Amino acid sequence: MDKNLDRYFELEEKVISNTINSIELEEWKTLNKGMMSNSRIEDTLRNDDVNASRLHVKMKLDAAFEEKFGSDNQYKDVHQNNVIPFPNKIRQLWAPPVNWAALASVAAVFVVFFMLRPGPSFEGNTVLLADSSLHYGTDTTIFKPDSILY
Amino acid sequence: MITTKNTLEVSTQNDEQLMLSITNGNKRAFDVLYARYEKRMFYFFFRKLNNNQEKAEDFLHDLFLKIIEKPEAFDTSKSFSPWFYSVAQNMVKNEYKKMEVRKIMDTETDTAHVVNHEIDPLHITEEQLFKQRLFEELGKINQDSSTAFIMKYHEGYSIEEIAETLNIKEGTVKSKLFYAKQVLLEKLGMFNPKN
Repeated sequence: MDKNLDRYFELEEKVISNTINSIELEEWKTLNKGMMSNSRIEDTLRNDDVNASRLHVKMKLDAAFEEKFGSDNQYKDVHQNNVIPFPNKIRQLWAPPVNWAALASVAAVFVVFFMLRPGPSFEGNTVLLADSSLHYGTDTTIFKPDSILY
Repeated sequence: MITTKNTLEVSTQNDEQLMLSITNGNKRAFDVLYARYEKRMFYFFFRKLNNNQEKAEDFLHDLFLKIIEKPEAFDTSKSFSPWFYSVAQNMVKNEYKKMEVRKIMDTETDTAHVVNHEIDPLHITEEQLFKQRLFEELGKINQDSSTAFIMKYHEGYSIEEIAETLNIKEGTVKSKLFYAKQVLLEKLGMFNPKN
C-alpha cells in the first residue's frame, strides 16, 4: 500500500509538472481507474479563489504594529544612522523635544562672542599693581589700597 | 532614494529574513510578509471555517497579530511557511474544540451559509454546484486530512512541507491525502460521468 502511495504521488507530481512520459501516463491512468475524470477535484481546488476586500484587517494590523514598534520613520532614522534599534519606548526617552542643531548654533555664537569681546585694559591693571606712590595725587578716581599710609 | 533601496532589499528577502527584520521593528518587512501570505491564509481560514468570511478575517487578523506581538516565537533557523501554517492549523483546531463545547457547530446552518454567500440558487451551474458540494464534504473530513488537501492542491505545497506543518511523517501525509480523495470521490460520485 505504502509503495503504491509513493508511486501514486510520484506520478501525480509528474502530471502536475507535465514531465510524465507515455508509459508512466498509462500507469497513472491505471492507478486512477474509477476515479473522477480529469482530476476535477484537484483542479477545482487549484483554481478556487475567494475574492474579498480585507483592507480593514491590514489597517488594524498596521495600528498594532505602530503601537508596538513606533512609526515607520522612527525605524528608518535609527536604521539609516546605523544605530542599534532600541525598543520605541526607550528611544523616545532618549529623544528630547529640542532641536539639537539649533541649540548648538546658538551656543556656538555665544562662544565666539565671548572669545572676541574686548579684554580688561592692561594699562588700568598696572595702576593697581604698580607702586601707587608714583601716582599719588595724580588720579583720585583710581583706588589705591596703600594710599591710606600717607 | 534610500527608502526605495531599502524597500527593494526587503522585498527580495526570504520569509525567514523578513521575520528577523520584523523582530527589529521593520514595518516594510511586515508589509512584504503580509502581502505574501494574506491571500492564502485567508483562503485557508475561509475554507476551514465553513466558508465564514467574517470569522476568516478575524482569524487572519489574529494570526498576523501573533507575529507582531511575539515575532521571537518563530525560530529563524527553520522554515517559516510550515510554521505559519501549523500556527493557523492550531487556531482552527482550537476553534473547533470551542464550537464543540458550545454546540454551535450546525452543519445545516453552515451549508445554508455557503449557499447564501457563494452561489445564487437561481443561476447555479453544474460547476458551481460541484464546487459547493466539494467544500461541504471537505469540511466534514478529518482536520489534518482537509488541511493537507488544501495545502497540497490549492497552495501546491510538497508532501515534505505538509508533513513538517502537521508534524507527521510523509507516509502519513500521503495516506491522509489519499483517504481524503477517496472520501471526496465517493461523496461526489454523482458528478462523475463514468458512474
